[in-house]
Amino acid sequence: MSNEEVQKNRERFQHKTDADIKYDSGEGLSEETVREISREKDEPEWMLEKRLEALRHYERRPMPGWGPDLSDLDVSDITHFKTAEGEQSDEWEEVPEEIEETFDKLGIPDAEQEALSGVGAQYESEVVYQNMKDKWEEKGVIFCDMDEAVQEHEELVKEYFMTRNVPPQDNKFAALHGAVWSGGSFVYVPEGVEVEIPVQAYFRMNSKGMGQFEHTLIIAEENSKVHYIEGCSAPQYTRNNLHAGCVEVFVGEDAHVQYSTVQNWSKNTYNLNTKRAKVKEDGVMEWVSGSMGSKVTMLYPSSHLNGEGARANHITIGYAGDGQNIDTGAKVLHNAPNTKSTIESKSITQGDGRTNYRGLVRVPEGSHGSKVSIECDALMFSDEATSDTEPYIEVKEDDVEMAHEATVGRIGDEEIHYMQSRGIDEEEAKEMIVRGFIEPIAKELPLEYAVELNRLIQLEMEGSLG
Amino acid sequence: MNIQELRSEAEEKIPNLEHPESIRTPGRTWTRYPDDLDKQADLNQDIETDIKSEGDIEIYTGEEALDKAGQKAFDLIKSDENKINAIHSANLNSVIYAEVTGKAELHIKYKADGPVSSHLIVDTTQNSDLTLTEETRNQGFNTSFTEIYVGENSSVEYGAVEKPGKFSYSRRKAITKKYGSINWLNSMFDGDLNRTKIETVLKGDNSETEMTGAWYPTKDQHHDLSLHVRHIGDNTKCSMDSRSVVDHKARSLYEGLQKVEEDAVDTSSFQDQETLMLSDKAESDASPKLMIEDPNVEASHAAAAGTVEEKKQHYLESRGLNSDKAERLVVKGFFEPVMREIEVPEAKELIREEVQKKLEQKSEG
Repeated sequence: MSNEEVQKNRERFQHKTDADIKYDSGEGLSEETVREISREKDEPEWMLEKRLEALRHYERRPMPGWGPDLSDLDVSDITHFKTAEGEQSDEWEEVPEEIEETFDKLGIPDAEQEALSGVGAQYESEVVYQNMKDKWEEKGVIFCDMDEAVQEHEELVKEYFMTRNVPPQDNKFAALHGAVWSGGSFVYVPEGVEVEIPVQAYFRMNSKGMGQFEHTLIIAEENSKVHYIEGCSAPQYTRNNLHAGCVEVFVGEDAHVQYSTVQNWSKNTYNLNTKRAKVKEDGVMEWVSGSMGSKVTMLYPSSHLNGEGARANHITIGYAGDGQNIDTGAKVLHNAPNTKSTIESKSITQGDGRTNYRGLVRVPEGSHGSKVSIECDALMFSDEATSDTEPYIEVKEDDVEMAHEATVGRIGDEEIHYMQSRGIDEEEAKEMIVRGFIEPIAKELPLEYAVELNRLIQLEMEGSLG
Repeated sequence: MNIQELRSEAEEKIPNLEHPESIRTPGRTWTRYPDDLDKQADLNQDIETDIKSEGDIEIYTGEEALDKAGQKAFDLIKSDENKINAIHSANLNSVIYAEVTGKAELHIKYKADGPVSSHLIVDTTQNSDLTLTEETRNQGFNTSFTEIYVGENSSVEYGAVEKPGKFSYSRRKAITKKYGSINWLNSMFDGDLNRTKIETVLKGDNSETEMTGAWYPTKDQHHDLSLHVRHIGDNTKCSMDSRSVVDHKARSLYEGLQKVEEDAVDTSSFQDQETLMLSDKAESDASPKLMIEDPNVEASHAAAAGTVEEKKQHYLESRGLNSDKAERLVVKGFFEPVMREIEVPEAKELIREEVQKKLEQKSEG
């Protein structure tokens, strides 16, 4: 890619449009704010109750005493709910020009206008554009935004929303999320249905000092299959932003869910998410995540393997440049016999960035025949970079195969010299090494996303040689 | 400071100190300490100390040891580091200080019907070469502390066999000067609750350490080993390699931490821990950690847990061994690869004997 192209690509991430904000809950968080959010959305009483209960829990709970430093994060200083002017649309043409333009700069329509369909793109907190293939609807697949689901699919939401998967009591940021959540996606795949084309959603934060709290709920019934992709991008601001999303996945018997995400948050965003899947007999859950951008990321997708023969694959890649702290990992509970999990974690660190793998794998008594494999690799580019690995493994069952492995290394001058002697310049040589390094993640993603991931890393790598 | 002063000073601090840190994961604390430890440790009980030495070594005990060691005593390991360290200091019933100036051997055995709180300080000058073993057999409460100063171009081979009674806490730490090397082989075979933390500070350039743990908790025993290394000097090397066998309802815990400081150039650091589980009521927890501040490093860590491989068992059974014998053979062989690394024949022999005893208990039970 030429320098001009790279420059052009970079601009799209710096970009911000002046969309009118329809509703602003004001800064700070109070019971009144929560009531207002619920009123504005015309929610049923039980949802308001749920929000208030979460708020009470949030107020009681202390900040986490482990992991990255969150002392600069002032939650009371962040606006909790924003919605762009304009009603929900079914047609791309009806999407406001300003918003379309923003997506343009993000390069999304390239991916979307061509082969892909079924885009639920989220502009700020609300989905403004929805399109779904007719054939899915015929099969009974539901794909809509979360607010709509509360109204249209109340029973399902009532049963699954922050109940037995991620209750608001789970952690401080899940509680905060429960109180002020807004937008996100709802996906329901009935028994035996396979959704061949990936379901996609894009989120953006576009207003100063705003928090985004989208909720994604995926229910895959017995023997179904779905691949959900989420991309996140936020432009640059000088103020600290907070993203505290929540993803709940229910994988039925023999069902297969893949959840892929490439996130490129603005460098002042705190990205604190809770993502969890409950997997029944012979179900498969796959988490693929690329975490770039953000000031602090704390992201530990979690799989509860509750049925015999259930499987989980976690693939994560983290990139931390100057001033960034990317703390990612995985949590897998092998709650049934013959369950399997693989965790593959890769990180790239440059400047004074910090990456950390933090993982917990637990095999309780009775989960015989379970297999666990964990692999962590770290690449470091500079003297100031830091990379830590903190795995925790608890095995209470003898009939288990468990292996953990990790390596850390610096791209050696020798390797680069070698490649230079083959006529490849230094920057290109590094890029090649990095591309090879992230290959396992890239190949799990549809082409457009893999290209975007590569581009993002290329942008980040630029000037790393100094 | 004399022993009496040290004791009373430490005793005052006990109530205000916390227990040693322990890993916490959601819903679990890996090791919990009893609240009445200061009562279990009984001041002023006599113990039998058997010291054998040869070569270029001077040995001091009791008051004289503390006096000669001077600033070196309780410097690497502070008496107020945590509650148990203070209890240890308040109840010392053995203090030994050894000065090594050349090639030497030192073998110490602690034996008692009651509590043992032993403290050993070893200082090696440059170009010395020491083989050192500590063996503890007692009833009830045990604390075993070892501070080792490794001189320039000196090497220390250390072996410990822990056979305490009820509760045991061992704390061992070494610091190296340039080209120094310290190799640890620490084994745990008894104690209802046995926690050992070993630390090497590779301060001198080109210094090295090998850290090896072997433990075999059975019945309701809970054995917890932590190995920590800090790479500070340039071109330092560490290899951690530990094995545990866990049977009945016992619990094996392991924490390894390789910390590479910012200015530690050209570090290489490796870590491995393997657990053999003989019972489905047993538990094995492991946390092999890696913290890197400097990118110019080669490091890896690994951990694995599993049962006796069917293939191995089948092979041995096909050679006419019954399944019980086959399992025993696998267990015996399991510790050998890590023991090969370290040159302390006395400790290795004892470890083999203890493994044998455990296996005999197994067939009785």
